[in-house]
Amino acid sequence: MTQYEKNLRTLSKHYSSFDRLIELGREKLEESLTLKEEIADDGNIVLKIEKDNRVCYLNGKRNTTDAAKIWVKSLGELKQNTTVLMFGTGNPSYLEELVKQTKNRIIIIVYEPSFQIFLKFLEMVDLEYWMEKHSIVFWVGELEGMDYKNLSGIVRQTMKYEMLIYLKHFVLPNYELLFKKESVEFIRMCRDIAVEETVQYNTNMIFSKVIVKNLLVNVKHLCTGYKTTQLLDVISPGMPGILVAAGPSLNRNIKELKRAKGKAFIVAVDTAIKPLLSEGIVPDMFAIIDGMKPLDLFEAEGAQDIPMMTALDAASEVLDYHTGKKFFYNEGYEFAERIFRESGKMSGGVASGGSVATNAFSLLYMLGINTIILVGQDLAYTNNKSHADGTFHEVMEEHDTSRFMMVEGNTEEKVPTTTGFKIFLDWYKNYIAGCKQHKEDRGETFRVINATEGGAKIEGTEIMTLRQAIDDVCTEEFDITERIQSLKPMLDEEKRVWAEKYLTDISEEFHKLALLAGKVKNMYKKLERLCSRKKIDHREYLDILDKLNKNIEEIKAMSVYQLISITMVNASYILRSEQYLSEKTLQKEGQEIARKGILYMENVKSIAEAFEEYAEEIFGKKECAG
Amino acid sequence: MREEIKNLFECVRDDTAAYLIYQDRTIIEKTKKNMPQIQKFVLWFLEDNGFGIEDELYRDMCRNLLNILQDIACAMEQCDIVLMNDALAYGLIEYLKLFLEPEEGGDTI
Repeated sequence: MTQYEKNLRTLSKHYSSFDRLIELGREKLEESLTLKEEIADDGNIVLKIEKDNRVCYLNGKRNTTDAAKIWVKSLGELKQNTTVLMFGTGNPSYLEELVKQTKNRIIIIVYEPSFQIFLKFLEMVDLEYWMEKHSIVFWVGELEGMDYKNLSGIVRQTMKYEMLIYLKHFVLPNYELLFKKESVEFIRMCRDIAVEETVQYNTNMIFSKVIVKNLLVNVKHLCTGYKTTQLLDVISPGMPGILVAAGPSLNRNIKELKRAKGKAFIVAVDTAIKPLLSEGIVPDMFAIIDGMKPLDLFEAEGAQDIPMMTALDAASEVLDYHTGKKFFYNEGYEFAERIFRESGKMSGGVASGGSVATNAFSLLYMLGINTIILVGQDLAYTNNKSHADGTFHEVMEEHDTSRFMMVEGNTEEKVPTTTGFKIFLDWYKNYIAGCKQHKEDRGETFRVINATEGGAKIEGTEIMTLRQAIDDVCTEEFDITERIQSLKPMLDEEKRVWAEKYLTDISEEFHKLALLAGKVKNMYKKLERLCSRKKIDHREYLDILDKLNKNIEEIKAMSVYQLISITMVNASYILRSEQYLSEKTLQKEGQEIARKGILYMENVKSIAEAFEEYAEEIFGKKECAG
Repeated sequence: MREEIKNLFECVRDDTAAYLIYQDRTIIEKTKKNMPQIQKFVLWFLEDNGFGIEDELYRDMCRNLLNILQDIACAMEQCDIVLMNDALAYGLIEYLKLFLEPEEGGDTI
């Protein structure tokens, strides 16, 4: 059996059918480069690649191992489950040294853009021991089904925020030259995932302080609220949707929107309400999801009654101020999901792209609208402004954008934008592509017209003026307002009474949770005592861990625990990152588990007690039986 | 000449260390700047065997040094950082060390 065949067998043991995929690829192989072998001074084979009129070595001919040894040494001690992203296999010494020198089991994701080089790699190495010692994923660019989209899904699973500080990435020398486009895409993909994870963490950190307050205060609105899926009864076939965002270009064509009233389902983002109302335009709905949105953005005559699409964790001051119909979607908050289930209405969420506009865009798509017009969706600092005049201020201040990143514009060649906006631009690009594909599979079409008349270009959209878009698409009259007004709340009278009682009982749930957290804390103390002894009774140790697991599972199953874990977002991140660190002895490991467990449960207990009091204040105290 | 060799050695040592340890991939640009000194050293070495090296060994060393110089030129032309590091860190630097004191990182003849 050749080395190549042996490696195919190893790969198929870890990833079923990978061997067949490789063999199939080999049959269809079209050479895109010339691969030459040379014998180095130390007797090892080194590869020399000829590609695009360039000849480059992938390994040194005088010394084939030092560079890899030094690189691995420079990484320091890699913790258990650390992810190493490698680009290229043409110099196997890097992977070999990484495998050899790393004691802890790590995850290595290797992307090889050239199938030809990968085949040669399989002839040069013995993967059996490598793949047993570590978790290694090979991704080969030219193989069927192994495209970037799928790779990013795998990378995303390993690039969790709590592990980012341990993450390592490496592009093999000369790969950046021979595979310039692919290596840039690889690094960009890793960077984008890292940025998204960091933004998500920061958002969670900022909002964790207000989310639970908003959730507890807002949940009462479910008793009289509506489900976004009820809007399916409002939408007629062929009805276009208009999403009005609050970008600086909104001032250019806002007046034009009057002509679209009654001819399209107009959904505005929260910040666009004031400028719209001051122009005498009342949207059919507005959306708010921000947990910290200032109330004064809505304090305008007529704003209170406009139907609202909202999230349970949105700013409670705004929801309390608003008196019109409130439409909620499924967000996965277990204590609220019970009410949704009780309503019997169709379940339905919206995709969150991170901004209120992306959420609203997703809603329009979910409602089956086939043509969406974007207005004021700049995602850039058009004329150096962040928002339209009349939103946060009558006249928005201009920013110095000389150091901003530049992206392609709708009407200008380049426009300044921020990392945050760039994330939304990428979200739109991917989401629109997905929507189009989905519609195409069903024999339908999906159009997105960007009528922003400024700002950044969104891939997958048609650029048009708003006037032209309205003339082209908004040609039929619809009685949207009347249809929305005729909708009934999701809970009938009987279910509403049930929901109010259910909410009153929530304080009792927090009380039970606090008691259980106290019990688990005592178990951790017992573990701490056991581990401080010189000799540990292994059976007793495992017995305590088993009981702890059962009780922790019980805590996690409680619907209100989710609210506690949101508040403790930072503690959770720290715990999750520390779980990858291992101690040298069982005593030390047990003591460490106990120390963290005690701290965590103390927090759970005190927060549950505080929430119990808070819930009583909001929903009233449960009357004691008898 | 000794001072010039010492300076060149320090430059090459630092450039290759940056490549190997910090993955600094600007070794081609850096070597371009050192090229006049490299050429001067090679010419000086090839000029005459005034080092007391056995003749046959000296001839082999000269051939090897010319190969190294050729690899440096080729690496520069192709922007090949692997070949450049190999030629410098495991080729040229060994020659430079021969003319330095041990405390300077040398391996005096």
